[in-house]
Amino acid sequence: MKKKAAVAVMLAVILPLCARNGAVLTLWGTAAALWGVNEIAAMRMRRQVSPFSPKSEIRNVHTLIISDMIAPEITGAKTDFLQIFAPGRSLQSCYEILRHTHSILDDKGGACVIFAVKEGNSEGFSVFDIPFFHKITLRKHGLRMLRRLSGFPAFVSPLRAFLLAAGMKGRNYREISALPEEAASFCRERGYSLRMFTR
Amino acid sequence: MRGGGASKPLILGSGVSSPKTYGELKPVIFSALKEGINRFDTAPSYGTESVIGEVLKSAENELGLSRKDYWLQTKIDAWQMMDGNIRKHFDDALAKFRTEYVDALLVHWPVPEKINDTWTQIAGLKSSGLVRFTGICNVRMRQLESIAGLDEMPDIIQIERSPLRVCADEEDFCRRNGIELQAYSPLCKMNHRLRDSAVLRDIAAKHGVSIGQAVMRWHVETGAVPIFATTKPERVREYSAVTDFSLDDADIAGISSLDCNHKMYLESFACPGF
Repeated sequence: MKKKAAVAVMLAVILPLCARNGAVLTLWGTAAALWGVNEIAAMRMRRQVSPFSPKSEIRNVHTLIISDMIAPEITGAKTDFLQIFAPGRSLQSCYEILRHTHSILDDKGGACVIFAVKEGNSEGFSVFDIPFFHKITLRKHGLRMLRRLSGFPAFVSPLRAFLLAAGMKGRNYREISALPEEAASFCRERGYSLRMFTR
Repeated sequence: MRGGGASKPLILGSGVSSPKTYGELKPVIFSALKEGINRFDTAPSYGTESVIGEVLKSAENELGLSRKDYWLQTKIDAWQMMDGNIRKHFDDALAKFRTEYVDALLVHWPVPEKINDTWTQIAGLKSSGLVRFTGICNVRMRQLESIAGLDEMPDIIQIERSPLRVCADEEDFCRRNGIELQAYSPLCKMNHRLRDSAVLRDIAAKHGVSIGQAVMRWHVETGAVPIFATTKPERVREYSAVTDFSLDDADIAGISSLDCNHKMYLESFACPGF
């Protein structure tokens, strides 16, 4: 309610100004658009994290896709899959997210992990990875500042936030046989199979 | 493995569903002590170490108990493991409890990079008499198989266990190795699959007990010590009655058949690299 009241007050002040001044209109129009994108991107991030809450009934998933914006049907996953996606996600980020989320997979055998990233995008974290990370991971990778900014994805990373908000998924991916060694070993020890897609 | 006195095979927890203030916790703990439940579980992350210590000191004064009459167990959290100085954190816990020893100290999450170092330090605390028993929480068979090779085996394993997640392999491992199995979230927060289960309803009706009591009894009869949390003293009285009846083999098999490997807490989300 407070948020809505603040928006109403802002609009009451800004709209008359905008009517008289084109520059003010442009400035506030941009801010409003960014705010809108931010809200949608943040909502999409929250929705991706919600299955990991103790209250969620989503458990024993067969396939976990950790990726940038790959369309899940490209991987062959049809039902019983969960996708954690964000534009520009790196391979390092996929692996770190896997380390945090794999317990949602069916541990009785046969579960599958799929990574999909742009070729050569091997390292780095973004604001979209933060909600999946434990405090000790944030400390290990020096991500505590990014943690503070994670509620404002559109202001930290506007283009990626727009792509996430728009929800556009890419189809131009191919499966490769060369698997990242550390992730492959991690999956093998836990009885998961790992597949890798790039574009 | 019991606290002093005639302890019932139940532990009062103080995690998510527990009251956190002295005024709220005192009637629950006093009710437990009066009903013969004298084992208490906490952890630094629950924020209840100080208040449990305070309430138990009141119990010593008002109910005429001594330290040996109750069991106090706490844990080493993941952030404390990363920090590495287990002795310092343990001393902080003792100061909060206002006691000179704890009955059990458990590793809360088996953080892969730190578990060996933490376990060595905890074993040292046991050798020095500051800790009577040691344990590890949130482990599955994969971790238990590596534990089997340790010089110092844990006395206690604490896992999320309910009829929706029977953990038969873990239960068998504990039984074979003389390890106490403690079950947290024993009712899975009364998940709808338990609350609406015809199997449980029939078993509860047959014995004239509630579904909660039937499930608690199932834990006891399958070799686990359930850890429950509540805000209500009357709930403590209800669960303390689990020693007043028994389940037969068909009842136990019926309850165990509800297993669908459902867990509330995803280990890897709280313990990266689990």
